[in-house]
Amino acid sequence: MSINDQVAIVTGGTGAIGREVVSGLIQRGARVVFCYRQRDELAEEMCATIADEQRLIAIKADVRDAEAMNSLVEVAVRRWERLDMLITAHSAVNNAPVAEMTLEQWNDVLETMLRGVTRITRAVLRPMQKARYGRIITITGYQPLAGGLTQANYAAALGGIIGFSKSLAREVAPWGITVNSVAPGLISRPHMSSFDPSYIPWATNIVPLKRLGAPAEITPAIFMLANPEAGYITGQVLPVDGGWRMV
Amino acid sequence: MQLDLTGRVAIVTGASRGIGRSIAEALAASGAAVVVNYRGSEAAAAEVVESITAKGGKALAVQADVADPASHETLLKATTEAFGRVDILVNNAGITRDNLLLRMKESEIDDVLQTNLRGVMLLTKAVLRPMMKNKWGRVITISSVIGLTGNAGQSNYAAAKAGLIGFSKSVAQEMASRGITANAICPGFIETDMTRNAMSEDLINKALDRIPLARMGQPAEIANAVVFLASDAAGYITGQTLAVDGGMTMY
Repeated sequence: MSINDQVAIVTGGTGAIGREVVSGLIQRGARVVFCYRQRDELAEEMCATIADEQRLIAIKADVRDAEAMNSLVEVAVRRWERLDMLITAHSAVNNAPVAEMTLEQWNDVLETMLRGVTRITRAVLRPMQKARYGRIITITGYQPLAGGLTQANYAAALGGIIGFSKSLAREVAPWGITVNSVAPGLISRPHMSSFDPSYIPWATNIVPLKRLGAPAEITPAIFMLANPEAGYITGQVLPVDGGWRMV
Repeated sequence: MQLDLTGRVAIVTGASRGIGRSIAEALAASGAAVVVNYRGSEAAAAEVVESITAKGGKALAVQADVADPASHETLLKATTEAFGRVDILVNNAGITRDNLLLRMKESEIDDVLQTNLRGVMLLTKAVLRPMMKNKWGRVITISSVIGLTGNAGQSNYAAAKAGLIGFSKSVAQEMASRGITANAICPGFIETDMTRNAMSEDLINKALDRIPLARMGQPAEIANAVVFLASDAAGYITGQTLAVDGGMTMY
């Protein structure tokens, strides 16, 4: 049993983790439709280098747009007549202390992160229920448990994703659909240079493995949960964080 | 899954049947050489070794009682003599002595803690040293959903299994700088001889009512999670507890 020839939808495909998810799925023989919001050039480059259009389709679409999410699913199902996996890898960061956080900042992050997950999930349920099979993996983070300075909106959204995933796991279990979350810890990303310079030494020291994770270290957990063989794992949150949070 | 454990050496305790057998076979199928530990079931262990070697895998049956620290050295010595090293320890062996606490004999508490908790601690201690030398190791401890939820009639078992979770997290913190990860897996209601023989149909149906996926799990479904955690791909996962239970617990 493997994901070879299976079909996946990935949101936030041009993000640091999204890119690893897309290329890892293709490497394992899956076919992928991913959406992205802004980075046209990167999406084009991915399509040019990772796989041809027989196996990889990029669609510029916003997870805040329910219609667009429905059409993402339509594209996958029309093209390949199946849909096996959903991986939500999109993100939106809009940091501020709570006292100064504007309504726009709250809405931006909650609408994209949490409501984005619910929209694409609703869209994939019908074909998965029809096939009586599905693997949904949402990406959350350490913030729901650890908190995140100036990231109350982000932490609230990620916490919401966990509660949503567990509830959905209960609802769709009768159709053989599993729903799990992967919770990355402190991950090195390209935009890290914008972080407070004390952040990386602090983060490195606080993690038992004494290093930040790489996006490519998150994806194996996603692929493990996406595999047909993981059919008895559902409603779980799997931290991949070097041992930072052991709750 | 495409996980390659070629060159790794694994010890699986209690591997002559049930979940342990399945773990041993899955690790071997991924390329690891496997020590099939057993306490009493010599013939069953030999059968596991035969089934692994018949498929081109490497395996050796070694008798040792996890509850008895004196036999840990024997187990370790047999492993390194046969395969030269030890990279993966799967603490799977366990016993049950079910009873309501009010009726539980002291021996029923002692036996379960001796094997399921104390034995695991001492065997892990013995195996850590060679892992530290290699600067690589995987300690995978099979706890139980009972360790998360408790269960009437299993207070001794629940205490031991919950203890294993705390133990595993502590090992994870002590060993992180040595390239050794430690994680626990909590199987839910798994279809083995132990569950089939011990439970009436009525009891089984009651248990299934609490499982969103509405079925018992298969030993192979636990084994897959073990293979994943044992692989290089899981190198940034440590101190975690993964329930493989059809959604029974969602902690």
